[in-house]
Amino acid sequence: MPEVRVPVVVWGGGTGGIAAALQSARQGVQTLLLTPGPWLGGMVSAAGVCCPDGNELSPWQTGLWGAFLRELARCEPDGLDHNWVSCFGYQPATAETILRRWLAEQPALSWWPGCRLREVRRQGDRLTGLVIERGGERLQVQLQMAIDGSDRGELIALSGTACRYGWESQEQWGEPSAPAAERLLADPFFRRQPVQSPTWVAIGVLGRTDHCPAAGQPLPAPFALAAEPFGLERTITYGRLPGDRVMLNWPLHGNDWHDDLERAFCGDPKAEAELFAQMQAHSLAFGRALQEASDGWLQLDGLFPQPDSAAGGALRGPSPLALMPYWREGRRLVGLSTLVEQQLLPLKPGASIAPLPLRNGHVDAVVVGNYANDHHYPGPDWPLAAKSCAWGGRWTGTPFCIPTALWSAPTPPTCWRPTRDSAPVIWPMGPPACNRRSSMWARPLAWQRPSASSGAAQPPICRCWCCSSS
Amino acid sequence: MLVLQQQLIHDPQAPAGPLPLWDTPWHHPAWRQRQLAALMDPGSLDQHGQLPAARKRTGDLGPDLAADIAAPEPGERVWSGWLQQNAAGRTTLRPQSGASGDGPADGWPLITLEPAMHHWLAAAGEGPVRLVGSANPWGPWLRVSRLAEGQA
Repeated sequence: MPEVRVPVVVWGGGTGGIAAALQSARQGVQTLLLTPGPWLGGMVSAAGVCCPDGNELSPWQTGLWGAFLRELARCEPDGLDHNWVSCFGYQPATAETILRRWLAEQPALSWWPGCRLREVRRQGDRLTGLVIERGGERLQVQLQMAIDGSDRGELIALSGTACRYGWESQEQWGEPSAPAAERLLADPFFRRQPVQSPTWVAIGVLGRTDHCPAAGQPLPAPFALAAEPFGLERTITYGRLPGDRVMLNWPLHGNDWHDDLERAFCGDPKAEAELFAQMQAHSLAFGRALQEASDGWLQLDGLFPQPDSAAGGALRGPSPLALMPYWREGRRLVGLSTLVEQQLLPLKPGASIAPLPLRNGHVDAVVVGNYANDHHYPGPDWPLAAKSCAWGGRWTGTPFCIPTALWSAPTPPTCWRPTRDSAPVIWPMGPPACNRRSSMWARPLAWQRPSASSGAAQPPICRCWCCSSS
Repeated sequence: MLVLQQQLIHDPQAPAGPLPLWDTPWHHPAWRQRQLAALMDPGSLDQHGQLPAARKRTGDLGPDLAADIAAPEPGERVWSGWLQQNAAGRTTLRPQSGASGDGPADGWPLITLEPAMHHWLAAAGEGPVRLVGSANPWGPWLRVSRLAEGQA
């Protein structure tokens, strides 16, 4: 098998993965960025969520994020003020072009799109290599450090690194917005919705008139209530982009996808492909419903290249569908400490910042975030502890700090999941990749504890949704 | 202080702030000094993310920016009109009659991403004003960044 040696390998090319790869390369370290798809950017380009609504205020516009916003403003001829969810609306290709240029400017950085993770190599508890597939060929990448910047934590899963996934009870961390353990186990909702609902963004184009000419035809099921809170025109222009395009990413009876999401985490490519096809069809159906209700004011429109031409370098094309889904939740690395909701909420009532992370008397912060908590699930709004404040004529989230102590712990990898008795299960080698597609999607969540006879190194029997117990 | 924090703050291409300083936009001339000072003495940061007024007055952290100072942006323009406070507590700008971009019938709601402008708007009464910003008809709002020259 061909082999390459690179000190730092980053898996995943969203903003987090790109930031890690850029900063590594800028220190002069040879760095290899691997992405499964043909584009970079994740949420901010390939997934089509081109109106980000976090870290908007000028004190939080620092670092690569601030540089990215200012470059967007410079490159979009009609500016960034186009919608009501964000102060930054732009076309996907604009963001993708900027990110590709930034990568190309770093001589120590290489980007390989279209890769598949196949295996990991390890010595003891350290990752020493990856086996990837690229262009139909397998090759081994020897490394000193691997960084998982992917949306769902695919390298975490493959390597068996300690991670968490899905719901955790209020009793576990004391988080005020978390469900109680009893409810978590008793209510089937939490088994049906193991993670927040993702969206496959679709793109539309608006007609020449400034306003929707239709009084608002009723939307068909399952979108019948989508326009109820804000009206049809506001629903459509929520994520308006330059060039009269609109991003369809509407959470209220819109194109969030809620069903059988475990298929994205069970390691079965066929199940994942089926899920993705359903998500895409759902978003296109939502677009067509809006098209009809608006008497054609909105039309589904091509903005993205088809995956094949995207792989050939195309930045624009005839597809209304983004190149990848927008995931709101993935696996969570188990680090030296765990960031919990209390660290994101105001220090006390009336305060405008969250508690500063302190370690040995020093502030341990490296990044500021401020996103206002919201959850995407079917049904009514999930009740959340208050986090936002009125500022500058709008609502904005209380800023909080990310501490360095979150970084991966040098402890034996474990994977925790809630169980029937609410106690965490220690999964010595991480969750197994489920390679048995079955019709067991609706099975209750349960992971058996390792038996005394199985030994700590043996994975217990998996009884998750994806695995047959037979 | 961590070496990493210092490197983030002193990054020549994309300086990154580890701490939430509500009074310090990215373009503040003393941005680095303020981030470093707050890291050295986190107790000096109050519950509103503000550094001590005395240290800002004496100069080592620089004064807070005036409302007529912000980074210029592509596409921005001057908006002249009458400032109003509406019943919902929002500030609006009714453009001068005949001006382009009249906007909503009851005036443009104003928003800002700049701390100095936020404080200025919170204290402003009603009256004539000239502001620099960009219109967003789909907000709908005017995103204003600073007072126009001669307004302060």
